[in-house]
Amino acid sequence: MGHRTARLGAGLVSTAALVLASAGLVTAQSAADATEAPVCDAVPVGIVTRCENFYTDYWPAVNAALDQLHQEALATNGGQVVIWDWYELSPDVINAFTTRFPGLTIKTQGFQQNLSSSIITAQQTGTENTDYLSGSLTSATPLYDSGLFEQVDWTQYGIPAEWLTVGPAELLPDSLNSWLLNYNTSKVTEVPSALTDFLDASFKDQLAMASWNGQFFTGYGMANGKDAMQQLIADLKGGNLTLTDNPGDLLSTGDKPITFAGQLFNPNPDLAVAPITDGGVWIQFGGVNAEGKNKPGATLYAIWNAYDPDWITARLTTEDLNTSAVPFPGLPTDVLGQATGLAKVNADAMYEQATIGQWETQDTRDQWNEMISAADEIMYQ
Amino acid sequence: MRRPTGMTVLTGVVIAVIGYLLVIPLITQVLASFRGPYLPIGVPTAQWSLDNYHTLFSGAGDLANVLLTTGAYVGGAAVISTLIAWTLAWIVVRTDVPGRTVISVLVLLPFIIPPIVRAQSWVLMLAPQSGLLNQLLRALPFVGGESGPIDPFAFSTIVVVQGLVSVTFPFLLLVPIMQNMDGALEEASRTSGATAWQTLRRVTLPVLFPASLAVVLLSTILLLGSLEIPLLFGQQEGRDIFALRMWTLLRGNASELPKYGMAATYGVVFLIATLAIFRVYLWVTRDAGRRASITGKGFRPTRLALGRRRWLVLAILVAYLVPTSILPAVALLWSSLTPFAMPISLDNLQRFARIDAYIAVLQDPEFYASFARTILIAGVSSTIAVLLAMVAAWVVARGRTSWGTRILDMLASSSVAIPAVIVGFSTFLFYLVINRTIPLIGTIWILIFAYSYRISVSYRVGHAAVLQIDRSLEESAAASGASRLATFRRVVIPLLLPAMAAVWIQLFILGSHEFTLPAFLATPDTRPLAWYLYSRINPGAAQLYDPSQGAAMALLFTVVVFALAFLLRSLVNRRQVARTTVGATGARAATDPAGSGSTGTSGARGAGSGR
Repeated sequence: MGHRTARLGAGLVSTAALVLASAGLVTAQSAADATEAPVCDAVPVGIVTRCENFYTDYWPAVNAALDQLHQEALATNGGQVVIWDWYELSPDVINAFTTRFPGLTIKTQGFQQNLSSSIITAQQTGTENTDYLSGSLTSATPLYDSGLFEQVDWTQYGIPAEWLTVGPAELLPDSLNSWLLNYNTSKVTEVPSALTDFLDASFKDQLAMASWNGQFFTGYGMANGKDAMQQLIADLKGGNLTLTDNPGDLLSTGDKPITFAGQLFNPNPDLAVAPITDGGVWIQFGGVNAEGKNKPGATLYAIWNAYDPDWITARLTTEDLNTSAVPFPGLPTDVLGQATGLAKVNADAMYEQATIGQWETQDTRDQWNEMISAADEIMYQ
Repeated sequence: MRRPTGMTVLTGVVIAVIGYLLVIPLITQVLASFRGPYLPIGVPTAQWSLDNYHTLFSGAGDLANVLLTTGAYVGGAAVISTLIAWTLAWIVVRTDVPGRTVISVLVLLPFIIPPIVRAQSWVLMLAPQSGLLNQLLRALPFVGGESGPIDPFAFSTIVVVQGLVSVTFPFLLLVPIMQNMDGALEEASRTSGATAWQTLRRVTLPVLFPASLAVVLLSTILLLGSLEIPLLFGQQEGRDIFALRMWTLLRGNASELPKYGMAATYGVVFLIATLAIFRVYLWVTRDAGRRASITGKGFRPTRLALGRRRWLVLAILVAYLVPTSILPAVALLWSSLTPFAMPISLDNLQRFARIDAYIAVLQDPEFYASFARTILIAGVSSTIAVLLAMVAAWVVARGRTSWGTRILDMLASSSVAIPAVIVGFSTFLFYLVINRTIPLIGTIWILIFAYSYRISVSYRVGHAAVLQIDRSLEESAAASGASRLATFRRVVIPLLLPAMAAVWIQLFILGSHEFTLPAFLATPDTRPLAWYLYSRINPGAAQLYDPSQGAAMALLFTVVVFALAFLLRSLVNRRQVARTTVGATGARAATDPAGSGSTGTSGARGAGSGR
């Protein structure tokens, strides 16, 4: 059976499942079980499998499952969903979610580096905890190792099994992230891609980064070894690189025209991003807190945030949401290709980085973590 | 057994409350330093250990570096700020330089701008190429170049900037001291033929030396808890500054649990250091009453006629006020009018300036919510601190000396010796470990309690004010059959109220822009405006990041708090309470722990004599 036939058959089956589920006759799980699973129209992107037929063949079942989860979330913990994330959700994100799923209320908080520890601390001290978990394989290490990720079988909601091999199966991949060079084109027309090139004297007083972003160098460390990475950091710190909490403003004014950072958040049209050789690339995951009070709500948010087509389109094309995370590269090419503005700037660079960078995987997770500690050791020295 | 009087019960309650606010969190911190590496209680990993101290003192913790760097940073900044404050106060109080009121207001302005925003505006002002201050300096004929001359990230710059932004506090302390210094001494010097310089060197400086040294020590302690400047400027050269080191330890690495035990150990060491400084401060000011040259008999300080030199002095003042008060405000205004950080230029103004940020802020419900929380937290905590201080002051000043009054005096006095970063962290730890019993984490109460720890300033004011109330008033009440509690309620409180109102305003302003305490304790549901502002100017906040709105909020907030403080001060003044700058009463008393009562500060005296 060719791809086309498979997609058509799967689409009909999914549509039937959608009708049944919408009518409330069967649950989403039984709908998925009762029908033949779609087959992913697969395209490899780094370690990720892209399913070009996701929205045609998979989404109807997923969408039906979301409606079911919505009802369950409403009936759980008074409809309140607690979402702690690296960043606090903006009112725009909350509004988009609650418009799609009326009646739910979101309580959000952003912890950045302290996200995992805050969740574990809440668990151990009995304070309010998040329903939803997130992070990369490395940043979520304490959560994963503490068994806080609920053992969710995401395929029961219609998610392609191919996507669940990027990390442990209970972690739902939702976006792409990587380290990038941010630069101001009014001062610098192009930037080298090799980090060692920045040791050149011509970059004196040109570079800046935040001290807490030592992880920027870990891809280089994975490729060239810890000692080489620590030497590179020390040499940069001792010469061309300035550390400051907020390098973005100095980048924007052109005082420090190149910063070692990640996604670009500044709307200044003079700013651009570029991938780096051996830059770290990783998938961000969502999940359900085993200790959470509204697990259906967390499941709902995780799937919606990662794949809902309207939400993905809004993130890629709406100016106010352009600084959202770059969507998961397993989504179809035509959806990801809609990006405009800052979303396009970031997505283009990150998808390129995904093909040349060093990927975080579950097998190499502990090595990455060691590399992060080694980088921080020099950054804070 | 004798039944305890109402006053005894009240005293016990005050000791218990101050202990709860201050001592118990600190004990939790000490406990955490011996029980690491993470939470001290309630987790399987917690165990008694000296590991943290071993790590710290064995060199791996770079304790020596941290102590030396922090000493150089806070000591340098305290000396710079006090020297400038001393000069400003002397010019404003003791000379006839024109525009003294405007100068005082401009010196106060940075005090009201939220510190994190102020620090950010300094980053923009000192940016090597686009920074306004560097541009102005390069325009000088002997400087030139395309970058600099000031390197914003050099250690010396961090110290100087911290010193410059910290002038207001010592200024507020020194103004009333100079106002209350009897001009007869200087007058005598001048009539004996001494020049103005000789009078300043041989009379004014020696008389004011103890108080000035006390101000340096007090500023040193307060600067230990200051995080904003090191955070934005010091990640490289200032990485060993104590507050930043604590922040770094607590922020940690995403894939590890934070090292609370190690942070607590640093905290304990620095707590001991600050208490030692505080002892020196108490020693320096031990006989402030005896040295006071103030009669309290309605004198007026004499002003030195500067003659034609007054314009030179004015020029020096302007040279100070432009970079410290006016340029930060301009940088803030510029940031609020432009959509992203860009150099200040006419071309950029024409191309990019717009008021969208103000419109967005005024339509942002979180702005109003966090603003309301700010007023609530600052208002309630200031009230708690002032109420506690009034009772403690009266009990200590009027009660028989006992262990109880000594403990109360020590507790009430010593909060000033505890840096905010230690209070924030210890309060956070304390409420975490007791959360299963008293669930206050994530509530606004935890912030109110933490903010209330600044009781010592109001205590010193209250103590000085009580001593100025003629005992005969209380004796009359007692003779009329009033209990001690009734006397306190009906006689003492009304007399103390005006002085305490002036302190309340100062605490309210301090609380309204507090940054360090909510860094440890606030959540999005409880955060005050200073933290909401930070999320607006911090790119790490992703979708909330909008520096234009952050700047617009900061300006709106500054204007409102300034107006509020001005209004409250006017109300207090109308009741003939304060004849000096806001906080002056508290300031004078803060440098006079002896509470000698000879200070002649206006609060209680004015009110008392008026009734």
